[in-house]
Amino acid sequence: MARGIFALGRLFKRSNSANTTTTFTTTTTTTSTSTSSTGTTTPPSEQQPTRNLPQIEAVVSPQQAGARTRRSASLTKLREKGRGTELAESVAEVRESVLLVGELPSPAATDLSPARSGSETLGGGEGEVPTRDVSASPPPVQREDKVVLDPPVVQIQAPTPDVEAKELLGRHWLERNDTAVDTPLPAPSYQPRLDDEVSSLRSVSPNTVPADGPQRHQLSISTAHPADEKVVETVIDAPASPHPNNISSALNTSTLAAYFTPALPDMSQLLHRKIWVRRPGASATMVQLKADDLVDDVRDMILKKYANSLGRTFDAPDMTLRILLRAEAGQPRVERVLGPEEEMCRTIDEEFTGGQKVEDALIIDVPVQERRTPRPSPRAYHHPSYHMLEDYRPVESGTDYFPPMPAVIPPSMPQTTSSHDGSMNSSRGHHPSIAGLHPGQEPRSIAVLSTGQIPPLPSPGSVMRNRGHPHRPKVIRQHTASPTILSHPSQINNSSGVPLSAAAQSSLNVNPQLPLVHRGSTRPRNDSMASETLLHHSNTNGMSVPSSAIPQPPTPPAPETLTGHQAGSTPPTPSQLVAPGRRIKKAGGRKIHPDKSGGRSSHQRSDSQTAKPSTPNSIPGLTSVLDSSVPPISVLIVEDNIINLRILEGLMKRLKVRWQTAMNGAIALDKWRQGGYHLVLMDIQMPVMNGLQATKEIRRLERVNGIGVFSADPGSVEGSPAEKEKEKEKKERQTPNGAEVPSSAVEDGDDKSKPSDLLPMQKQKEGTAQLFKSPVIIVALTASSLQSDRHEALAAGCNDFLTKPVSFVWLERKVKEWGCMQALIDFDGWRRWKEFAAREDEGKTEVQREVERGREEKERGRVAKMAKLQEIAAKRKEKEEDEKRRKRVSLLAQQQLLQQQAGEVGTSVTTTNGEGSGATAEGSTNGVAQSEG
Amino acid sequence: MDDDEDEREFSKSIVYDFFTQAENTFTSMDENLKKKDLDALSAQGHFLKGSSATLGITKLKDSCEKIQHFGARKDETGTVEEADDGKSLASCASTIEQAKREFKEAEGALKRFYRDEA
Repeated sequence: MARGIFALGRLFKRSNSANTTTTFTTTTTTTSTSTSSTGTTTPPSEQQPTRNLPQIEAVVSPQQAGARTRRSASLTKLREKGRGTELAESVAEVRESVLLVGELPSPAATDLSPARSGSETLGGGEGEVPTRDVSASPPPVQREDKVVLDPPVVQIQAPTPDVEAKELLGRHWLERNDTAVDTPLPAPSYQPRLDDEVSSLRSVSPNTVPADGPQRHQLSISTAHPADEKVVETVIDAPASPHPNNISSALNTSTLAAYFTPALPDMSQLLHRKIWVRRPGASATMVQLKADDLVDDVRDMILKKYANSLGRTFDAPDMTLRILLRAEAGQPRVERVLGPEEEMCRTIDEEFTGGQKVEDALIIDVPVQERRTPRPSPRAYHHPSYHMLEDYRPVESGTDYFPPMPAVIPPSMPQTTSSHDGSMNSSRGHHPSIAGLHPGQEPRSIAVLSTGQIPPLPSPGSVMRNRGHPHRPKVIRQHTASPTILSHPSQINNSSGVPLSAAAQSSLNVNPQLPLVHRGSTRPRNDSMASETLLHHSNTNGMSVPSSAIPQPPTPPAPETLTGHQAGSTPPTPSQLVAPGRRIKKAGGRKIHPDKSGGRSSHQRSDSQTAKPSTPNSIPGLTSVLDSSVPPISVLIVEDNIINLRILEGLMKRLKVRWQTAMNGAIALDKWRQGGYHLVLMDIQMPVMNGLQATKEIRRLERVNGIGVFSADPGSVEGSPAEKEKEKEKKERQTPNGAEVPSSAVEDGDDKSKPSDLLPMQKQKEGTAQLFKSPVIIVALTASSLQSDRHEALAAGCNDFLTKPVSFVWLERKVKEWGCMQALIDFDGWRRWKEFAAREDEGKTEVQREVERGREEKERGRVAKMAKLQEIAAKRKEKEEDEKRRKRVSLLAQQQLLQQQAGEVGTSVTTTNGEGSGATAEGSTNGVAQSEG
Repeated sequence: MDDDEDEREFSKSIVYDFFTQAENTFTSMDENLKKKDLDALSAQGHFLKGSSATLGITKLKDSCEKIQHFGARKDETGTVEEADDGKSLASCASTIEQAKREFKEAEGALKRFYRDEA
């Protein structure tokens, strides 16, 4: 039907513009479409007699009228504007139909009236329709056409049943005459028929003009939808006694003008009508539709109308239209769900005899949507900013992250179910899976089995949202180096009931991922875990990080005895990645293939070194970061514990930093004298010479030799630094504790420089002086958690400190930090050094490297041995001293004993003890032991 | 830390070095205990503390710290002076025993990790 009307409209246009007459073939009724195609052609001749152009007396054949009316149904607009009486409506309808009719005949009107009327019929589409010139085409030809083209019976003309119809026709024709210049008066073929016939003939009336009444009758009857009867009847009956005057007056209003404007688009508009629709609880609105639209089409139109609230989230099939049937006064209105296949206009005409009023508006139901689709959380989905505005609505296209989601119903909209749930549950519409639901219920997705359609999905966020702990503190992860989080959420878990120390200590941390830097922390760390996460993030770049490496709630720290020292002003301590005890099993369960040979460490070590080039970056992301950011500095590691030393070496290797090791402070000093170090990692507690002593010594030497800030006067550029040093040296000698050395207060008398203090660089070529351009940075490594130790270290001249065990992240940070500073202080030197290092590295062949490594090994061994020897020597010295002391003490004791023998025994013992403890530590012990012995 | 995830040569070598180191240290600790050399004990406690802390063997580390403190004639937290050397020695002895147990435990776990899993 819609198609037919479209065709009509198009034809009108065409006929106007091109001056061509088209025979056209429209199937006017949907129901009859098929039948019309099979229909017989009717000879045109038949219609001739019926036409009385001048008088506009054409009497429309009732059947056709029926068809027309059905097609055109009442124009709501008209109805509205009309007085609202039934009469007016019917008139309008009639008028419309007339108009239709009027269009059709356009081409052939005058001359070929007979032919026209008959020839209108054509089977299928306009395409088949032969266009004939107004003047030219003779009737017979058309007939032929008809015969050939169209078996179906399609009638175009819309007969008007009554007088008014005639009138309308007349008007219309006039109109047409005005507008369409070329077309003579249309000569619609109207068969004067009697009203009584109408009832029987409500065929849907295709355009063709039936040749003979009876034939048509049968046809139409067979094809007509039974429901049509009513319509036809109403239409035809209603205007039963209309007065021409009435009608004319009705039409004379503005509507008339509107409908009879010359412009053609208006003509096509005539084919539309409007109906009232509303959403439950909302005000009604009008939807324009074509006269023959089905409910299904109406839904489309409604979606267009409600483009925002419905159109974005619903498809037409989701929608249900309900019609509130009129009832007698006092009775509640019964409502009925419109099937998608119903013809809208007809239904409306059926139900609302007087025309649809506002209160008769169809009610639009959409599937119940309980929950709003939540906005995607900004944290979870980082939409580019241009998406932000659309966050509020789900994306329909499904091309985005979210699949098409069910509707967002603005909260202001009452839910549709509430109004009619009780009565309507069973009969509700075409989406049964939704219909039966209680408002609060989400359809189960399994419903697809029974219904064949997937119920609207709850949005992914909405389901879970209410389940968790809404007030659970969010874990904030910062990728900042500064430990700003005071209490990591995981630490709150202290209350979780597991005895902390037990949890932390029950197991050894053998987490394979970072076995060496882990430490089950026994005290609360105030640092953020940011560094760890950072590390792991970089890890994830290139390789799959084993699950154990994923940052996870660390074991609650053990109850703390030293907390007091830790809190507050503590400089940032490297944070530890704590491995919870339970992970040990996990780690143990993992497949690990250590070297089966279990060879000696030195062997393995060289193995690992040689293996390194072949597997360049086991952690590409990490190493690449480090490659780019860690300045190529040289580090001196001073550490007596071989284990720690090796680990630090490993870290240095990973940092791609040059390093040297020293097993105690004395060795460190020697190494430092050679120059070239930017950074010293200084263990504090070491045999022979501990870190603090070494540091103090280094600082003293620096001061004495004018290294660093004090020598950084512009004069140092000219002249050899060595000379300067000497000059300074002299100066210092002349004025011990000179003003130029303000910090001398720290070390008081130590400032008196001895000739041995002069650094080798003074005796060597100038080039070496570059190695001492800036004071070395000393980073203390303290195993102690005591705050006092740290202060002590800083006071001794350390620049910074790290707590042991040293985590890689923090070490890297320190190295980067201080290394960069050094590079800035001595940019030239650094650059030269870098170039030199690069050249050196390039020059090396694989063999050379091998050799170097061997040498390194040997060196290390030698150093270790040396350290041992030194230690032994130191011990021996100590022992000797001890011996002396002991002898002294024992002598003393003997003297005392002698005295005691003279005096009372008891008192003398106590005095001995007191004296013993007053002596040095060893001495006292030994003394006591001896005296007791 | 290891270059190769599957072959933990580096960490393994270190850990096994640690075993020997720890055993040696315990031996000398025993000797020092006999000699009642509290200071030596303290130094050794510190020494072992450093490596065990580095390896993340926390229980052992804590014990070593205690030994260090006891050896320094203090209470186990290192804050209060302990006048009685005999007491300190006794505490050292007991703590050393405890440390040995903990070391055995750790050694077992580590060996299992490095060897048995191979």
